[in-house]
Parts: sequence; C-alpha cells; structure tokens
Amino acid sequence: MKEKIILLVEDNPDDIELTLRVFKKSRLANRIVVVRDGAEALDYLFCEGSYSQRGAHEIPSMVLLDLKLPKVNGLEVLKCLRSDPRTRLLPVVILTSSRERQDLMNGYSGGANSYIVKPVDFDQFIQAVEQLQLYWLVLNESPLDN
Amino acid sequence: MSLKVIRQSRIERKLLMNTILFGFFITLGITAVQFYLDYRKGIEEIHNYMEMIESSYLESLTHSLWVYDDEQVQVQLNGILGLPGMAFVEIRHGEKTIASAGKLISKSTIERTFGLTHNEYNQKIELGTLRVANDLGRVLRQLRGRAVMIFAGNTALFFLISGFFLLLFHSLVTRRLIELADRLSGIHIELQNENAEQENSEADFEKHDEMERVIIASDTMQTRISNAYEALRKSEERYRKLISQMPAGFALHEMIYDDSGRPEDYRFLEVNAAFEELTGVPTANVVGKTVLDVMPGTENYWIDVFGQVSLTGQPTRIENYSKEIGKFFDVVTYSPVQNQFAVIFTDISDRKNLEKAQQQQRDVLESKVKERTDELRQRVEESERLNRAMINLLDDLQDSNKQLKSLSSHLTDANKELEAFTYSVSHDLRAPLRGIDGFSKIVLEDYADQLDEHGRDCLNRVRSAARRMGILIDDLLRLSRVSRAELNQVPVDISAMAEDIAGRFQEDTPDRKTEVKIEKGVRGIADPNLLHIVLENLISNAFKFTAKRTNTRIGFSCDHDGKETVFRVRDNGAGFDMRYAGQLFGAFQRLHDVDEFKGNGIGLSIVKRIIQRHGGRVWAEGVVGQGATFYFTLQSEEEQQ
Repeated sequence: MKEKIILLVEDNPDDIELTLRVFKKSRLANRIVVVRDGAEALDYLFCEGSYSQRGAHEIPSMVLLDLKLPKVNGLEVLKCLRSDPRTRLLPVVILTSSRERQDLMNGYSGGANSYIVKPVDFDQFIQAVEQLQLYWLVLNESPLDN
Repeated sequence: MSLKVIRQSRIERKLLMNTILFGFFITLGITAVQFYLDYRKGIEEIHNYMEMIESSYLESLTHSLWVYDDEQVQVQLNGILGLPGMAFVEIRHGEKTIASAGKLISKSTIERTFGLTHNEYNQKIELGTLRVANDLGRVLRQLRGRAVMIFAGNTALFFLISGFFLLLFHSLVTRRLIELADRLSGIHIELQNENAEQENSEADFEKHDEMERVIIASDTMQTRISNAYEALRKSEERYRKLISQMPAGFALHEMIYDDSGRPEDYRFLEVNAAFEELTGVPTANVVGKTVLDVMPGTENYWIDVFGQVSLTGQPTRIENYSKEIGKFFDVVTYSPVQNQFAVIFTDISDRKNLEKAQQQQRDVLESKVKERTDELRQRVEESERLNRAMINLLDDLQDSNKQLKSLSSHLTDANKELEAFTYSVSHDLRAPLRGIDGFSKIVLEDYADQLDEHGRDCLNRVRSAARRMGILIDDLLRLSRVSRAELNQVPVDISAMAEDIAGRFQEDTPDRKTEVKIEKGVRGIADPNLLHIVLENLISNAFKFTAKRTNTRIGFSCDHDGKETVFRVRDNGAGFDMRYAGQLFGAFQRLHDVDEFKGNGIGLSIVKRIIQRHGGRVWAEGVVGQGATFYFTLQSEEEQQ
C-alpha cells in the first residue's frame, strides 16, 4: 500500500506533539508533514518557497487545518486551496479548538470537508484523530487516489 | 291733372259717361222746348198779322170793292202779301176769283177767310170773301236755323257746368273717397292668420270703384273688427283664465296716497282664486276695500315697496313675511298702469322655514366649528409650546445622540473586544487545557511504572480539573452566545416543544418511572431556538432533581391572570430553600452539592438571560424535599399588544 501523506497545519507545539503521538500509535503507516503557519502550508502545497524542490507528485491525501494560524489564517488557506485546480478536490478537515458558530459556518462555506472541535479530554482527542484517519484515508474514496 | 285723374278714377269716368249721356238728352229736351215755344211764337205772330189784316185792310178793301176800284184792290192785296210770311191772298165771290196775289206753293199754311160785307143803309151787302194764306215753311225755316244755335249753345253750357262739377266732385269727394278706401282697406285689425283671405281679395278689389271700395273696405273692416273683437274676447278670456286659474296668487291694486303724496294704503281692484287660497281672505271681502280695512296689521314695508313700484313703474321682487297672514311670500310686483300695481305671489313659508332650520343648523355648526377652532387654536398653541419644547428636547437629544454615538462606538469597540475575548476563550483557553490533560495522560501511560498510587491519583485529578474547566468554558461560551444571538420572535407551539423535549428525556432514562403532564395548546410568541434552550434547561433540571424519586411527576402548564400569561414547569423533586431563591439564576450558582446533582450552575443563568431578552420574567418557588416550580413569562402584555 502506498504511503499516504497527511499535512498537519498547526502552530501549537503541544497540539503537534499530541497529534503526532496519536498518529504514531495508530497502526496505519502514513507520513505526517507538519507546517506551522498558513504561508508555509501554501508553500508546501504549491511547491513554492522553501518547498520549491519538493516533488510535485507528493500530494497530501488529507489536510488537517487549524483556523487560528500565524501569517495566513486557516480560512484563507482553505480559500486558496479551493480556488486552485491542483488542490480543489483535496480533502480538508478543519481541526480547531473553536466551537464558534461563525467559524463553523465559514469553514463549511469555504469548502471544508469536515469540522472537528479538538476536545479538551485527551482520550476523546485520540478517538477523534483515529476516526478521522480511518475515515478519510481508508474508508473514503478520494478522487485523487488514482 | 284732372284728365289723368279722371282716367285713373273709375267713379269719375262713370260720372263723365253718365253726364255726357244725360247732358245730351237734357240739351235735346231743352232745345225741343225752345223750338216749340219759338214755333208757337211764330204762329201767334201770324195770327197777329191776320188780326192786323182784319182791322187795317178789310174796310178799305171792302170799300174798293164797292166802288169797283180794281186797281186799288190789287194794291191793297199786294200790301197784304207784303206782310211777313204771307204767301197767297185771294178775293172770291162764290166760285169766282175776283183778285189774287201770290202763289200757293207750300201745303203747310195757315189760312183765314174774311167776309167782305158792305153796309148800305143798314143793309148788308155781301161783296165776296178774302182768303189769306200764310206760309208755315218760313216759320219752320227760321226755327231750323235757330235750333242748331240753341242746341250748340245748350251743349256748350252744359259741358262747362258739368266739367266744373266734375272737378269739384273730384277735389271734394273722389280724392277723399280714394283716401278713405285706402285707409279703410289699410286698417289691419284682424289677427295674423286671417291675412290670407285679405290677400286673395286684393285682385278683386282693383275692379271696383272708389265708393264700392269704400263699401268693401268697410265691410272687410267690419268683418275684421268682429274677428278682432272675437279674438280680443278670446284673448281676454284666455288672459282672464290665465290670471284666475294661475296657482300663484294675483291681485291688482290702486295705490292710495296721503296728502303729502306718500303711499299710505292700497285698494284691491281684482284678485284671482289663488289669492283666497294663499291669503285665507275671501275674495268677496276684498275687492273694492283697502288693505288696511281687510288686514289692519299689514306691515309698512309692503305699502312702501308697492308705493315705490306704483310711482316708478319699476318691477320689483321681494320675499317677506306677512304677520297678518302668517306666511312668507315671494312677491313679484309691477305697475301696469300709473298708480296701480299688480302682484303675483307664492307661499314660500315651507322653504323659508326650511332655510331658517338650515340657518339654525348652520349657526349651531358654526358655533361648533368656532368652538372646535378655538380648541384647535389652543391645541395648536399647546403644540407650538410642545414644539418649542421638542426643539429644545431635540437639541438635548442631539447632544445625547452625540454622546450616544460616542457611547455606541465605545459599545461597538466593547463588543468587538468581547468577540475577540470570546474567540480567545473558545480557542486559546481550551488549547492549554487539552495540553494539561493530554500530557498528564502521556505521563500516566508512558511513566506508569515510575508513579505510585498517589501520583496517579494526582495526575487523574489534574486531568479531571482540566476537563471540568473545559466544560465551564463551553458553558460560558453558550451563555455568551445566548446573549449575542439575534432574537427572531414568531408564534410557537410551546406545548409541542415541551412534549418533544420531555419525550427525549424519558427515552434517555428508560429505567425511571416518570409521569409527564403537559397542558395542550399552549402558545406564545418567542424565538423558537432560544425558547427550546429554556425548556430544555428547565425540563432537564426537573428530570435531574427528581432522579432520586421513585414516582417522578413533571408538569408543564400555563395561567392567564388577565395581565400576562405565566408558564410553569413543576416537579416533585428535591426542591430548594426559598431563602436562597434569589441565588438560583446567578451564573455558576448552585444550591446543591455537585456530588449530589451534577451541573455547574450555568443553565438557569442561560434561562434567565433568554427570558430577559424576550422581555419576560423568571422566578421559582420551592420547598425542600417536595419539589420546585419554575415560572416564566415571555413578554409583558403591553408589548404583546
């Protein structure tokens, strides 16, 4: 089975650590790429800036996108992804601490595939990330797979 | 002139013809009479000559005969023959002619025979007879010559006289007759429709002479006069009917003036039937009497007005009241003859009374209008005062507005800050908690062997506290959301909503025996989402605080106390001490131990906030161990109206 890439866009090191732990513990062998702000996320996705040498074929299978990000915020990143043909169909899951209805509405309006609120309870967080991975990388048929 | 006139004038032509004819015979007659008289005179003259012969010649002739003087006899006979008219003289003795002279030519003669007797001694001796013949032809010849003269003279005389009379006649009679005939025929008395007949006779009229024309004209005139009279009679009858049957009252009067010439009274000359009807005064009592006799109370203005009309002849129309008759009259008055006046009047009392009533209504209306106008003016003044006050207020308001605007901008800033704060709470405060919990779990998992029981317990407490704080944050956010959410009030079936919520709680606790009683058909105006939160909280509380009951009773109902509708959620649960009722709705206020009943005390705060936002009130009654009742209203009655 081909190794799938998950792009984690997250600025909080604690959350990065915790999230990476969940992925590590899971049985699925996927590569996690972590970027720490919106600008870096866009550079990575469009092979620009420090990622210009990256193989263009390495398209992530899923993007886990925080909303509150330095430089370029999550919603703007989402907007860029959805307006570019290369990333238009890329599954984007918003993973955020915000329960604000406004954020939820903006996320879905911007074309997010899912909106997950990071639970305070770590047990629930593990569960959520595992389910996400299972759903989007295993169960869900992506138009980008073939 | 005369010939022409005579030729034109028929009567003169006739007269001339008749005169000529008559003159001719008269002249002839006169001539004949003269002729006869002249003839008789001639005969008489002859007889005179005969007498003269007898007296003058007879004796001498007898003597001559006696003496046989034949010569003398012949001389004497010639002497006799010399007398005028003598044609033949002869002396005979028996059959024997002794002497003769002349010749007997004409048969028409006058003859006389004288006896020639000689007296001798008283003895008469007849000597013979003298025969004398006078020729009448001479006399007739004489007469014939004179007759022409007489006839011509008579004729001339006659024509002179008759011509003079003709002229006289013409100048005195004929001309006048023609004028008369013309005038007579020129008089048009009859009415217009009889003109045709007259025009037809115009041609015939020319054929007649002046006298006849006068007669015809006078006949025509008579017809015309009688026609005209008839027409006049009819007309008069018509006008009389017109007056007498006129529904309006009519009266003709004669004005009576005082010594100074001022009108003081008037006398009725004629009135019609309607007069009696309208005035109520019998016609018989009126005519010939004066108005002050009949109606002494007659107002002066009537007499004045009528007097003016009689004097000036200016027709006038007046409307006035007659006290004597008790009616209003519309009177048209005019003066057909000097010092007389006629009136045509109608009773207008009904109209006048109506007008009076209308006027009264108008007066009332006007006074009302005036009243209202005054009122209105007062109001206007008041409103002007108010306006001034308003303007002052507006100035103040503008100041206030300015202040408000600055306040509003402050508030907007504050709201933005709140938004930012809420977002921050939502996002940033939760992340560290997740870290605390997550890393505590990692320590528990990865370093379990290095921790004793107490260490694990501590870490678990850390995790539990972190999670509780997460819940608190969520609750705070919910409260904040409720406060900020837009209010969308519509009619809501509250009963159905309560049933639905209670039903779900019953499903969640199938092991409990719960009796839920919800009043049907309770409706209200509210934001459905927020009301749902209220009911959910209250019913949730009811279920929560009745958890230890074996027989749970939960009820929803409403009461109308006339002023407002009070909704009620009641349970027979743990209840509470009324002393602490005031604290119930404060955020994070709890009356029960967390271990006894779960919850962080945010629910009722949210309920209170929502009810307040609807303009309603919320309160609670409870008895410890017997249950609690939560009351709320959605909005004050005034707002509902």
